[in-house]
Amino acid sequence: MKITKKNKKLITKYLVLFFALSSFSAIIIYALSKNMVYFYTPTQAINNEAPINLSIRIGGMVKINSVKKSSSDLNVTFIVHDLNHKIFVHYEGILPDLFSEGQGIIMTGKLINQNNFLATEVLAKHDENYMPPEVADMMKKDSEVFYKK
Amino acid sequence: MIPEIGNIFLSISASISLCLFSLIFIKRYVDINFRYTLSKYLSIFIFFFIFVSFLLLSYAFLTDDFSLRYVANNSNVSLENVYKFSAVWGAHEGSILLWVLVLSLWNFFISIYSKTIPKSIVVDMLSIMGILLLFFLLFILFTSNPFDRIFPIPLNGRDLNPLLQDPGLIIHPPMLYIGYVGTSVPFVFAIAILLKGNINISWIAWLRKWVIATWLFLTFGITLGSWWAYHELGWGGWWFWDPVENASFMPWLAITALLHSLIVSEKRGIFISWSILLSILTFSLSLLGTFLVRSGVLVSVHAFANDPERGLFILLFLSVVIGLSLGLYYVKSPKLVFYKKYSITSKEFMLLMNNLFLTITTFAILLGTLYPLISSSLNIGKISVGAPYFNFIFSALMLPIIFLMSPAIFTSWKNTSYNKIQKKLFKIFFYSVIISYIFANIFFSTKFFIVNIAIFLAVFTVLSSLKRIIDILNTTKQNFIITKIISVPSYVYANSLAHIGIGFVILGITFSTYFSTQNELVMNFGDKVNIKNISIKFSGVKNIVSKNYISQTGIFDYYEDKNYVLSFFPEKRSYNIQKNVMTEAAISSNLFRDIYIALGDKLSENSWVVRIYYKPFIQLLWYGAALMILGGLFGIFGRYKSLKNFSDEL
Repeated sequence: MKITKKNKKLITKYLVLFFALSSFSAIIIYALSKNMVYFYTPTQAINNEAPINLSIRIGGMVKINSVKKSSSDLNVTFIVHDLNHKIFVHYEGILPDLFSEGQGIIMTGKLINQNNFLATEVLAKHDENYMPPEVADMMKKDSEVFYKK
Repeated sequence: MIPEIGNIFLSISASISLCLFSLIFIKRYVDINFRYTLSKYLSIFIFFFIFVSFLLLSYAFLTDDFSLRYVANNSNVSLENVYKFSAVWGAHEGSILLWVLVLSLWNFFISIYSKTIPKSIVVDMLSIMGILLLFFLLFILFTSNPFDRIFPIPLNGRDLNPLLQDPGLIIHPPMLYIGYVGTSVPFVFAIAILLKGNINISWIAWLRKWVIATWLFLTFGITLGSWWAYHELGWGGWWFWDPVENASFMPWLAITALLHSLIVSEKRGIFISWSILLSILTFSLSLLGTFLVRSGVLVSVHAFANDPERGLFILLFLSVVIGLSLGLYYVKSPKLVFYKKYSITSKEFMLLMNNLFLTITTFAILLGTLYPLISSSLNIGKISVGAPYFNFIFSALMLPIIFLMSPAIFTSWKNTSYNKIQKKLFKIFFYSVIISYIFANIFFSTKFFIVNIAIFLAVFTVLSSLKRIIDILNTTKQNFIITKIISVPSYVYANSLAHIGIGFVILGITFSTYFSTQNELVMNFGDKVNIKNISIKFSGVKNIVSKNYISQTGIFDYYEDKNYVLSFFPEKRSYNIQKNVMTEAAISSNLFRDIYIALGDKLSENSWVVRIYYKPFIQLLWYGAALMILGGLFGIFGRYKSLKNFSDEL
């Protein structure tokens, strides 16, 4: 192919397009890799399968009679469990309206150590028929194991 | 008896839809005039039958007919009448019925208001609508029939989800659906054009008004949803990058791109193939959104009780629609590709940039929304993509095109001299820098550079749009100010108002995100909180019993410079039937700030957790959206006659 004026223009066009698209992809992939949050179960946390001190999500059921609220500030502690294991959760803030004991929730935050979780965000289910898919999935698996036993 | 009639009517409209669809196959054998008239009547009948069954369902709600499972699950004797009516679309089955109703309404409108395009195109469009209608009607009849009976008949219903018992939620879904479903109009147009294999530019002018109308409703619907979240969810937020919010936002971005690319197609006869592709993508995104909401594959506020079968049904339909229409596009679109020369400072190029960035943003949001699904189905791990991703992507990709908005409105087709743009914008640019600097650093003293940029861009956009109007006012030959104002072509108003709206929205977002004061604290009766020159006193809590809930209403007195101004009454409601607790925030707004008070948990007899937010300029968000909608109205109803006088402006 001869490098005529027309071809040159075409080549520049494609080069610009290529650079634009690759820089867009770079931005998107970078942002995605920085902001992915993995989901774990309490069992995985206890078994050291979840990273300590990294932003993750943990889901499970709130243990009945485990919620302890401070009377002077916004600190709350409670226990979240799946059928096998439980972890202690520390949270400072206002819990969602639909948060209550015995319910499925998902939390975002960091593990301090394998059985203590510092939550920065707590999501409760939004209506009585609804359970976060991750929690539903986990409970199903757990109960299968449970029944096999 | 009534539900059976509803069922029969739905089945009848399904069969009529099939007839309507079949018109596309008898092109060669039947005269066009006959097919045209027939398709018109069929469209009216479909709309009529679906509308009647919708009314029947509403009637069942209003008369508390709990023999219907859907009514029993979503209504209650003690529910207020207006909520009984809005409960019709309060859950899955009814909202899909609303979807179909709106689809048949758009179909009906196409059949009426399409005198300027050839009959053969109209018939093809209506036929394709026919298959869409048929699918959704079958979807209702087989997987989500609101007329299903329940036995034994319960004495009372399980009540409407208390989250939905709010005035904002009465019109949010219908508006959003009108916009959402309206994306089917450019879709069927695109398919009809691809089938025909050629296009007349004048048809695009017709399509553009429909696209503006769709865009307008989508904008309104999303704004209402956002406004509702701000008032009702009690977190003081108005956008959460929730998958379902994204599902409505992606079609919005795509249709905004389409709106702009159609301008180029109409005026210059290029970008036609791209506009058609974009039409197909917009509708696909709209269907994808329906799939995301209905299948429950994602964690979301909007996920109702779900049934995987329904998701599968829509997913199959989605793949068929995307597969077939992209296949058709691949075969037929090369005939619709046209080239014309334009320079880097032309309006064409600016709108190309607009489309490039909007499309890439849409894609990035799509990726972030679907990535959790992809990764969990590939067993890479269960992940979620949080708000920081979307915030970063959105600002990184939106700020450049918002910067381009100002020069873009001063460019002409084909080519514009740098001098012209520079002359128009030089002063405005400096004013904007100064104004935004004063706001960001002197009034609010920000630490973030991005705040400076965002405020600058917003001010720049607003000022340059104003300048465009003023320039035109100064050049008209009219003598009186009123006639001058009228003589400005309405497309200029449409464009300027919408762009100023964007500027306002950016200001609202920036100020409320970076300069809000958020207090979350424990307050005893009599405690005071001071923010700037105001103070808020927690006076007490009283119990109020209402028809279907009990409310604990807080009393907060608000003092400005030690003078009593007004009281806030935020509520914590517990609904009797679903045993749900809901927060009703109390908000006092003016142009400069919102004060937002919500009750958290009760800690003891006289101490509560309380949220008090001070959000400067958040109202600009709603004003901005209103301006965008107003701009859209100008776009639809405006006169385009005076266009010739301002050929330079185009």
